[in-house]
Amino acid sequence: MIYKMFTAAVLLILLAGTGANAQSLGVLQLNRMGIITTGDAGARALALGGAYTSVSDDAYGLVYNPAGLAQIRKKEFTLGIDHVDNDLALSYSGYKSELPFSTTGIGHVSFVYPYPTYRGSLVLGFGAFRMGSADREHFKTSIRPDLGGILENRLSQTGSIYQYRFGAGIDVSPRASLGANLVVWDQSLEYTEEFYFESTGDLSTYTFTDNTSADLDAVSLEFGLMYKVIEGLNFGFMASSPVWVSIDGDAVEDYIGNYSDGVAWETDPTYLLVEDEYTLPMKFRLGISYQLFNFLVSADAEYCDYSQTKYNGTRLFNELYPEEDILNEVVDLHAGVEFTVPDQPIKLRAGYTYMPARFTGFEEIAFIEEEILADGFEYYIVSEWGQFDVLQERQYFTFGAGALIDRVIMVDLAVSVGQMEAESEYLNESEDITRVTLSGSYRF
Amino acid sequence: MNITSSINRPLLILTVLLISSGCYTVLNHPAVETSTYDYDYASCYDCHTHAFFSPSYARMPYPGLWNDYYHDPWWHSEILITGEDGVTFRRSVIPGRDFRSRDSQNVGSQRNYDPGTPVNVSPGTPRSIGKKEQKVEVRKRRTTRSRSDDRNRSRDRSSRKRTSGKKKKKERDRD
Repeated sequence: MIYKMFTAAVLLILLAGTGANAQSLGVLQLNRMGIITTGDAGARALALGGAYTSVSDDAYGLVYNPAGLAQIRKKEFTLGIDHVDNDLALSYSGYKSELPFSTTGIGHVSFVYPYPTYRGSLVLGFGAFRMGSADREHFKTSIRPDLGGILENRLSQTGSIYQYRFGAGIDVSPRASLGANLVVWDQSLEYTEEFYFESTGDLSTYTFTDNTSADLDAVSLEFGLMYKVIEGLNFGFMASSPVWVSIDGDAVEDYIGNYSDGVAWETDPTYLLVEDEYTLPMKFRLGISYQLFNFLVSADAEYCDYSQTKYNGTRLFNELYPEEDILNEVVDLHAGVEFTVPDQPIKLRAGYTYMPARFTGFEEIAFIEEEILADGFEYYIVSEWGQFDVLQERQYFTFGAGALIDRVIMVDLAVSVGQMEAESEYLNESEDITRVTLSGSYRF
Repeated sequence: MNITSSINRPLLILTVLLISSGCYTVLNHPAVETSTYDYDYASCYDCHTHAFFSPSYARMPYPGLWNDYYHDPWWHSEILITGEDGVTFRRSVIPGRDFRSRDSQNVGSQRNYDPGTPVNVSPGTPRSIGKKEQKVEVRKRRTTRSRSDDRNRSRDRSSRKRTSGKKKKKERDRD
């Protein structure tokens, strides 16, 4: 690592890109956006651990299985509120940091309209769902003798992932229904990332700040099937098309510091454009549920080979070890049970969700590196990437209850408690997530 | 990226086919051209003993509490209420609703029913039928290098290569 005083003016160099150059930023950006770890919608579905593909007898069929919409007989308006507590703990080479944060907001709004039929069912629906979040704050620090100083990384990022879903379900036989969704994704991502370095030799300091604002737009299609095998036994299936993602934004970078004699220096701000495209692979989701007396038992499995993810037309790969996948092929598991209290308009629920890691590694730490040129200098953000071992796969335990008020209003509450932990050679990252969702549905 | 152009045409065709494939679901009542047809029928139950739904939809274990919320169509002016034996049904008119009022000249609420009159009905066979002005635009990217550092260990390093810059002493700039 080379840090030297340099005051000569240099020309701004426009860098020519290559496919390989793009890969690392593509992986990091994909990880931070959170679009491949989208969650559940609606308190009832959340309380059932997301095992809802073969249930979907309300507006949340817009999310889990549009074919299930065909079961709805009344116009339905739903509204949900989400609260998330996130405790992210990072330990880099023994230096620990924790930055807990929480968010509260509207989780979803939806409306479902069953078209009057003489036989069968045709139901149309629309909803806006907050399906995930890129909200994240972290701080990493370490003494790095090999670099001759102290490193600090700070990140403050916000960005909810909204999906606008247009769906329809139709009966095609007394026991079978089909459905389809058009899903329009939207996310506004804002983050400030700061890299600080302090030389332990001459006490010079260097601070690089990146302020980025980007908009994500994406579209996908979903197709669902619901089949009532026998009385009370439902089978559900949903296939999701690839998700075509487009990201546009801009960024401004500042690089400032102090020489060893205490004199401050700065560079001109650098303005950059963000123009990226991703294609997320197809997903397949299978579910089964059985209503036995007062109990509804349901289970789902979702398969996706994330290693097929494309970034700017090229399949994402590990630049340093191209033979290794940087994204995994995963199967998520969901299970839930609902108990209807006899003679009372109350339902009690519990569930479990298992979501294996999508990535095979993460960024351990980043810093600035300079190289002297004949007419100036170039500086880089060097990102140290570590393949991790998963100590605790992401899993959630969920609980909830629902109450029917005056036969037309359903109020549901769900609490989800989850955690994950992964560790590479230098970084340990653990996350505890608590989510509370309150939903209300009015049928008329 | 033109997102719409990325969607495969077969998927769009399949979507349209699925949505429009209402071979079982009936939105409009088929025309009845028999001399005995009487437009004074009040509801589907007059012609069809089990007009609307397969019993498999009735999944609620306690219909008394949940049936209205989950099961009864909003557009029905009358419903079938399951008897205690689970076999017989009773017709009951929902006040304030007009059955198929959008097509009431053909089928409407023209009869007055006694909501309390039990009628045994057998479910089964029908009787009949962005932010700032940008001085320089550089696309974000990264480059990758691998090297061993002074700690004699190999790290996976990739770098987002940036543009060159100039460092200016702040004191000099103020002058």
